[in-house]
Amino acid sequence: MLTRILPLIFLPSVLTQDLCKDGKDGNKVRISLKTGLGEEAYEWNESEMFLFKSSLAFAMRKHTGNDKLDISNILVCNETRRVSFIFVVTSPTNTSQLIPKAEVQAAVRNSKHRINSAFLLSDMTLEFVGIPPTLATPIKYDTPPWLIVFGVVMGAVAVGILALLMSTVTKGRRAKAKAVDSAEEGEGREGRVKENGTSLTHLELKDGVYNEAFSSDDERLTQL
Amino acid sequence: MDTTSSTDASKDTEERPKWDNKVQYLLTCIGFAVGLGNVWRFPYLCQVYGGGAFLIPYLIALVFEGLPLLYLELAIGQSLRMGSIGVWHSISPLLGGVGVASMILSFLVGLFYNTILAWVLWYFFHSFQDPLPWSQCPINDNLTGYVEECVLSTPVNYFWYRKTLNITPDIEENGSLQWWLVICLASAWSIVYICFIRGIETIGKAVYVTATFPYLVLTIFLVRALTLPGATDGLIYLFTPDWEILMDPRVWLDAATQIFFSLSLAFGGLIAFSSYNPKKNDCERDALVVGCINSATSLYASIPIFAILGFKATSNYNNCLNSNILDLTNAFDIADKNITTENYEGWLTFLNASDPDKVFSLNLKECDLKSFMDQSASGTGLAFIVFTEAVIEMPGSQVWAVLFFIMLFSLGLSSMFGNLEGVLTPLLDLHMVPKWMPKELFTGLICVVCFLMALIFTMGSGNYWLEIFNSYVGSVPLLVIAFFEIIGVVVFYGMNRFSNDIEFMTGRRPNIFWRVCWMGISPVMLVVVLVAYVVVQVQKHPTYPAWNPAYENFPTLEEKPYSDWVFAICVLLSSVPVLSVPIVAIYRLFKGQTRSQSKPNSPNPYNNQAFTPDSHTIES
Repeated sequence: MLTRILPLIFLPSVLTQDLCKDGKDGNKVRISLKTGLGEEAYEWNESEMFLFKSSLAFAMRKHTGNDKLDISNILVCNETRRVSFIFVVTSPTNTSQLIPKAEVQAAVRNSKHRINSAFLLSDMTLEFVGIPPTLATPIKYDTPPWLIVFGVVMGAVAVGILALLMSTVTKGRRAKAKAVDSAEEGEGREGRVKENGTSLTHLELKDGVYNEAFSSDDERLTQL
Repeated sequence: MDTTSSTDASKDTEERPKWDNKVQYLLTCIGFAVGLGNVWRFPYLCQVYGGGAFLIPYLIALVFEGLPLLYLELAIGQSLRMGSIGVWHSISPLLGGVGVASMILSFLVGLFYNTILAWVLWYFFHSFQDPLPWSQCPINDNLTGYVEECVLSTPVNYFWYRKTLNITPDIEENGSLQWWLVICLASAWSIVYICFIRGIETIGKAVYVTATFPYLVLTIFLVRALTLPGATDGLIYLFTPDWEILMDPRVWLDAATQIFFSLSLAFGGLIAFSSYNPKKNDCERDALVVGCINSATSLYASIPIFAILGFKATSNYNNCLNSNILDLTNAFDIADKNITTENYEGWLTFLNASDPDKVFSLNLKECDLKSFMDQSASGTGLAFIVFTEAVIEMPGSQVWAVLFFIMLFSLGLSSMFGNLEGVLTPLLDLHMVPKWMPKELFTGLICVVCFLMALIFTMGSGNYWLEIFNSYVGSVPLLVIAFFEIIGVVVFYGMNRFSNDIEFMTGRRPNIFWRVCWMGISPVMLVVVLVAYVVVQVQKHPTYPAWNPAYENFPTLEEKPYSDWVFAICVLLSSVPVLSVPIVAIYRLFKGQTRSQSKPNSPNPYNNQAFTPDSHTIES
C-alpha cells in the first residue's frame, strides 16, 4: 500500500521537474551579484529564490490580471553556482500546462524595473536571456546645452568687439579734438608772433578800449 | 619753422607700431611656434619612430636647420623693419616673389587652421553635458535599438564623423553646408578678430593668456595622468628607444620636416613680428629661446599625452578581457567573479583542456596590450577620437574635456595670430590700405573674407579638403620658400652685409657656427629634405581615407584614390605659391629693376645733400 502511495506523493514534484526541464517554454536567468554589488553582495540562498519566485508571480499577476496565480505556479530548475537557473510558469487553472514564453517575457518586461529593484540589481546584472535590456529614454532638451554655451561665448565676444570699436571711435574723436585744439593754439601763437607783442594783445581785445573821452553825446552843445 | 614737416616726421615714427615690452614679443613668437602640432604630431612621431631614439634626429635637425633659419628670419625682419614682401623686395627686387609666396601661404594655412579651431570649439561647447555626448550611442528613431552606424563603429567615431562632420563617403560628394559648423566657424573667426583687431597692439595683450595657458593645462594633465592606471606602461612604451630605426632614412626626413613645420618658418609671420622690434635687440638670444622652448614644449606635451594613451590602452585591454571573462562565465556557469583578469590565463587553459570545442565556439577576442598601445593616431584623430575616448574613462570627464579643448583652442589661436600677421603686415607695408579705412575695418575685412572662403570646409566633404590643404599647402611650398630665403640672404644680400647688420643690432658678429650653417649646412639640408619629400610623395599614388558606412570592411576607413580634377587641385595648391617666385623675378628682369632702388637704412654721413656743388661757378 505504502509503495503505491509513495510514488503518488512524489508524482507532482517529478512532473513539475519534467515540465521545467522540457525547456521549450523555459526562460534562463543569470544573476551576477558580485559584479552588481561588489562588497555589499548578499548570498544567494533559498530565501532569495523565494523572493525571486514571488516577484515573478507578482509580475505575472500584474500582466494577466489573474489573481489566482500563486507562487506555486513558478517552477525553477537547473540551478548553478553562476548563479543561473531556468524557470517556467504554470497556468493557475491547469498545473500541467505552461504559460507560453512570449507572454511570460511580456510580463517580465513590464515589471522589469520592480524586479530589478527588489534585488538591488540592474538590467546588466539580472539578466533574462531573450529579453534585451531596456534602453534608457533619450533626454530631450528644449534647447540643446551646447547652444547655451555657444550663446554665452558669442555674447561675450560681441560685447568685446563693440567695446574695442567704441574705444577706437572715442580715441579718434579725442585725437581729432586735440588736433583741432593744437591747430588753434598753433594759429594763435603764430598770430602773436606776427604782432610785435603789445600788452593789449593777450587781453584779446583786438578792438581796443572805448575810453569814452570822446563822447558822441552832443546834448551839452547847443543845438542850432 | 615749417610746422607741416614736423607733423610728417612724427607721422613716420608713429606709423610703425611696436611691442609694449620684450615679454610680449617673445610670448607671441613662442605662441606662434608652439601650436597644435606640438601636441598631436610630435608624440605620434616619437612613438612610431622608436621612442627615445627619435630625439636624436630631431635635435640634430633643430640645431642645424631649425635654429639657423629661425635666427635668419628674426634678424632680417628686425633689421629691415618690414613685412615679408617689403623685406625681400629690399634685399633684391628679383626676390619679391618670395614675400608674395609667404603671404599667399599664410593666407591659405590660416583658412584651414581656423576650421580646426572651429571643430575644437564644437567639442568644447559639448563638453558641458552629462553624460558626454560621445560616450554613448544615440537611440534610433523607432526606439528599438542603437543607431546602426554607431553600433558597428564606436560612439566616439560616430560623434566625430556623423554628428560633427556629417561626412560624405566620397570627396566628390559635396553634401551641404552644415549649419552647426558654420556657426562654430563664425565664432572661431570672431574670437580671432577680437584679438587681431588692432594688429600687434591687441595681439600683444592676448598672448599673455593664449601663450601661457596651455602650459598650465599641460601641467594639470601631467599630474592627473601620472596617477592613472596604465600611465607608466604608456610612458615606457613611448620612450623605450629602438636604435635600429635610425637606419631608416624616413626617420631623418620626418624629423627634419617636423622641426621645420613646428617652428612655423617661411610663413612670414616671424619676420612680421620681429619687424616691430626696436633696432637694437638681441635677436640671437631670442631665436635660441624660441627654438628651445618650442622643442621643450613638444617633449613636455608628449608625457601627459602618452600617459593618457597608456591609460586608454590599459582600459581597452581590461574591457576586452572582461568581455571574454563574461562569455566564459556564462557558457560554463562558473560562479560570478571567480575568473578575474589576474587568473584569466589559468582558467582559460583549464577550460580549454576540459572542453576545447565549447571554448572555441565562444569566439573569444584576442586581447593583447601591445596591440592596443599600437593604436596610435596623430592629428585630428588623436584629439577628437583617441583622446576623447580616454577622457570618458577618467573620473570627472567634463572637467578634463573642457580643459583639454580650451588648451587646444589657445594653442591654435596663438598660431593663427602669426598666420594673419603674415598677411596683414605686408599689406600694410605696401600701403594697400586706403587712407580712409581704419585698421580695425581692414582686419575685419580680412577675417570676413577668410571666413567666407573657409566655408568650403564646413561642407560634408570638408574634412577631405582640409586634409588636402594640410598635406599639399603646408609642406612642399614652405620648404621651397625657406630655401629661397636662405639663398636670398647669403647670395643676394651678402654674408658680410648681414653680419654688419647683426653686429649693429646685437653688438657682436655672428660666430662661425651660424655662418657655416647659413652658407653650407642649412641650404644643403633643405634641398635634401625637399627632394626626399617630393620623391616619397610621388612614389605612392595619392589616396585618402574615407568614412563610408556602406563599405564592406566598415568601420575601417576605405582608401580611395583622388580623381583627376582633385589631384589637379592638389598640384595647383602646391605650385601656385611657389610659382610667384619665378613670375615676379621674370617680371622684374623685364622691367630692368635688378637692384634695389631704396636703401632704407644707410644714410651716408659724408654727404647729407645739404650742400650741392654748384656746377655753374665760373672759375676765376
